[in-house]
Amino acid sequence: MSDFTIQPVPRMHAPRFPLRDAFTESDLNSQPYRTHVSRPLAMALAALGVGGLGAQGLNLGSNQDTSFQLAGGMAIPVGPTIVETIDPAAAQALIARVFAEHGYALRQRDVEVAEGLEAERWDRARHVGVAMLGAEDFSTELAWAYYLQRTLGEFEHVPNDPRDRIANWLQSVSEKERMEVETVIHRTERHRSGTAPEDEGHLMVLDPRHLVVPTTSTGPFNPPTSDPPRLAPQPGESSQMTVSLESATSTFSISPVLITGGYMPSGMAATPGNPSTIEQRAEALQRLERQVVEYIEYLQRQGI
Amino acid sequence: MHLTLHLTHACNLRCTYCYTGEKFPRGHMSEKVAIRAIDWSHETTPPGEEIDIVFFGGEPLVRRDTLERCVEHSQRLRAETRRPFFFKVITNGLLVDEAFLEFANRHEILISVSCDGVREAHDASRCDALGRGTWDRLEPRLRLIRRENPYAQVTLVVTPKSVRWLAESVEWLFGLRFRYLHLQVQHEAEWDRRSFRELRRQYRRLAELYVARMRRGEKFFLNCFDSKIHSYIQGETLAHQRCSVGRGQVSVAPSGRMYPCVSFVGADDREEHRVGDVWSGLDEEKLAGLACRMQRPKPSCEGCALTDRCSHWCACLNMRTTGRIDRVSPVVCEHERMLMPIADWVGNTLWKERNRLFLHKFYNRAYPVLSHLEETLEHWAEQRGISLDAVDEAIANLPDESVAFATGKE
Repeated sequence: MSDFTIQPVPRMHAPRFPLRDAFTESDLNSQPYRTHVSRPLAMALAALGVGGLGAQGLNLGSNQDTSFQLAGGMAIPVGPTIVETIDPAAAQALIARVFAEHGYALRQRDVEVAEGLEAERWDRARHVGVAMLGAEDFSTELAWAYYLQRTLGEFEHVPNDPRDRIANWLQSVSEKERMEVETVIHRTERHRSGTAPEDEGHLMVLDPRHLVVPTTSTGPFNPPTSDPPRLAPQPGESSQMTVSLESATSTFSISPVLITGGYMPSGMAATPGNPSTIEQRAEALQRLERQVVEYIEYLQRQGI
Repeated sequence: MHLTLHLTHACNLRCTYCYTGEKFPRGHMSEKVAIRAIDWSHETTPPGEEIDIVFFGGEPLVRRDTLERCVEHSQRLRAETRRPFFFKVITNGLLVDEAFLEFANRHEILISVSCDGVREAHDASRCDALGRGTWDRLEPRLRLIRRENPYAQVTLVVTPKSVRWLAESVEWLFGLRFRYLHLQVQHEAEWDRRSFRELRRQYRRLAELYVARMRRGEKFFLNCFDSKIHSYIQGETLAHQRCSVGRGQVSVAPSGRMYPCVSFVGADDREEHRVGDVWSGLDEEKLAGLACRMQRPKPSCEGCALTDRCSHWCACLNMRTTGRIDRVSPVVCEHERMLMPIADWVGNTLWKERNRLFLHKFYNRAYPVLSHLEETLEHWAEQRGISLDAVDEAIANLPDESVAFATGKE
């Protein structure tokens, strides 16, 4: 015989801490979270696929409990991603087109001009989820392995990383390959410092709350102007067709971004005299399109 | 889709509270059934949606070969179709060795070890077939697991026999640097007022421990408080994450028969709870009936202000405690009424102080990402004997160094 009985509680004092929706981003920003994860290291780790980042996204979880523990109460399907592309305008147009084909229009506030890897925007990108370098590309991924090895010591063991592949590569790399990797690193650094020429590629961060994409209206490395980004809807566009991703994510409590890859090697412009590069570029855009479609399908599954 | 594969009925332990049914030494899941179960989940889950595979038992590592085949098969499917698969193994830890940990790390398998805490608590229930305690054998393996896999979680079952060591056990596990602790109160045990008083006392000690650790900026997950704080903060959202029997979650017995959740599998002899098998799929009519029974408002809870935050919705829990999925146990009710105010005290205290870790843990959507990266870095540094300060310094110097290196000027 149990000592206990079911006793409905007629009234309960609400806790004094607020509901999630009542707690704003600026509240949070006033209490910055100190982390050991710096921007370059986060990129390097992510590019390496460390800890389930990279190809698998962030959800290491395998059931509700796991999602809870890793996500602190939220399941995050996939983390935000950087797409490095030589042709931001093409990628941008593609994103706008695919969204439009699915009945979505991107509003101006969903689209912001990015200045490469300028620190403030990086911080914001990190705030909504640390960005990842497109890890599908061989040389980028290994470049970061090499970079990390050179800067933080020998790369021996990181849980869940593709260390065998990296270690084997580092042992077997030829001088020519090494040079290629160093070139990639060099270019990445030039991007970061804003000294890369305009045609050398760009980085963009895609995320449902702050879609940050480069625009050609100001040039990828120039400061943004008041010109509306190219993805802004035209006057008179039906507001019903406009989906506020910001409110959608808030409503549905998700912060997914699942556009990965789309990488095109920096400095390899698609030119008539360079058919292999044209092929690569087309492939990368096709990959990006598939990923955008997947992303939209994901949003639709969430009822957005 | 959450797919739990009960790889075997066999187990090397005889825990007194085990709910997974009689232990048949040869009741293994064949590789054919396991692969079919994965294929079934793949065929019935929309493209691109993730499948979470949980390896359970019995003791799943008794069938390590089958587990490995399952992972390899899923990885092939992932490569072919870009379907994300995630893996978790729930183990008693005694069969874990370095080779398995290497395999788990390589395939990103999350490890959940069952350990009830300090020796007295653990050996009170977790015995082998000869009735001997297993703490001495588990303890070195726990250290090994933590060393190789910083994300491993520990599940502690709390019983009237072990409750008085609860806070001590949690502290001990934190001391081993496990950060993800999952307390599972054995509601179906013989709890009485005295043992519940002890449980309340232990929860209060844990609440103080929780607040102290948060003030020191130490990250961890302790489900008893975290889930209750989230249940308020997330409100409606959390309700969507709750299980609904058989929908998006299936447990497969070694025979290939399917059940709505782990607690229903038992000895695989409960016809009324079977919802299909891996060959012919789910019995939709039966599932709908179960869901209907589960979602019906519970008259016993009518008018209760705690229902949105309470565990009364859990079919598994109701099944274990009352034998019916739609009936709530008085012990569950008593426990929820006890736990919630203590969890709210934790939340209120940390909110009042505007504790930075609290704010980010519960309100920052990016926290899981940052936290995960941070842990990865800490583990990386720890394995090399590098202090985090040194890492910080290296990071601060990264851009210049890398430019110098990349331009050949170093």
